[in-house]
Amino acid sequence: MTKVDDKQILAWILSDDHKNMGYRCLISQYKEKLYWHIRRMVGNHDDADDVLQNTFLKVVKNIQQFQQNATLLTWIYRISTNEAITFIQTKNKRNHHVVVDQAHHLVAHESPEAGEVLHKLDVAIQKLPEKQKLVFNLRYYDELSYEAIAEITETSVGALKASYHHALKKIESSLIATV
Amino acid sequence: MKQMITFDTQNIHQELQSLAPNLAALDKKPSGAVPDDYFESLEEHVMAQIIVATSIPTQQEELPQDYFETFEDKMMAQLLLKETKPSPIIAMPTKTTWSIYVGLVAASILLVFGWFVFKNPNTDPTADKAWAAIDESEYIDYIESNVEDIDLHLLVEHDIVGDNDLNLITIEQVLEDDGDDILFESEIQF
Repeated sequence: MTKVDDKQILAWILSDDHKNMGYRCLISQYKEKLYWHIRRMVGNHDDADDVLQNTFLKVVKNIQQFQQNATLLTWIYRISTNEAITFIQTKNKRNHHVVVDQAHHLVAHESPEAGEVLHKLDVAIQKLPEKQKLVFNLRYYDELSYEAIAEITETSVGALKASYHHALKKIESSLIATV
Repeated sequence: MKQMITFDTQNIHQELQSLAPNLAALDKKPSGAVPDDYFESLEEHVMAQIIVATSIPTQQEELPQDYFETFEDKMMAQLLLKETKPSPIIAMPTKTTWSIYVGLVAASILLVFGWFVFKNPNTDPTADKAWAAIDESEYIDYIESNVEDIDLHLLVEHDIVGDNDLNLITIEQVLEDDGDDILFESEIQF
């Protein structure tokens, strides 16, 4: 599906005639990005699926209140981040731990060595503080600008740069130790 | 809608290369097992939920203007009114009052019951009227014409009439001749 401008998607959703088309376009355009963003936070597919669906429903319910002083993407990312955080907190209260995929890198990659390195990367990322881990994932995996991350996390660009650079150094040290 | 550079791919690669070259060398492809056709079916699944969620009308009654703004003041006014206004005391009947009521009712029942029980069962009001209408001279005439000598004897034998009463004289003659003296001296018994 060709990428549609956020303005167009919003216009369709807010209209009476093309509402459903707008919803479909929104889901199609953001489903994979949001899925992996959520999955990196909650750690497994089933939980990611639940949170992702809740995210889209919440977006639809609140689309009328979208102020347009942020981009549609950052607004959706913010909702998905909050949904994932709420989910983790609720699950931690019940189970006292979050189930994280353990061997997915070994499945996804061809060579055991590459899989092992990526596994180490995962371990290093999991060791980061929650806020720093979130910033790292948004910048490293989603390749978002500092301005976009600032809107999502409600943190200043300067603080974000510092946090991300610090995370990079920690992970690099872990990889060097592995190698 | 706000315009910004959302994705910063080029700068990110340069930043990564300079700060973490080993990390920059790694494959950034998303990893993790995902069920087959998950993303293909996700759109329909979410759309079904959206249609359900958006088709249920949210009923919202129209509230009076400034309802919530004035609600607090109204509540405070009512609370103050309740505090200053004494609640009316409803006088409940006391035990003494109830006793009096019960006594009156019992007395009424007894009066009615007694009237039915103790009134002369033999009294026939119609018969009384008939007897009262008859003149006394008629009584005497009846007795003189219907009571035989033998009957008189039986009356004396059963002490219904005394010996002295055999010679019956009319009450009018007695009263006329001898007046009160005879009434006091004789014992006229019928």
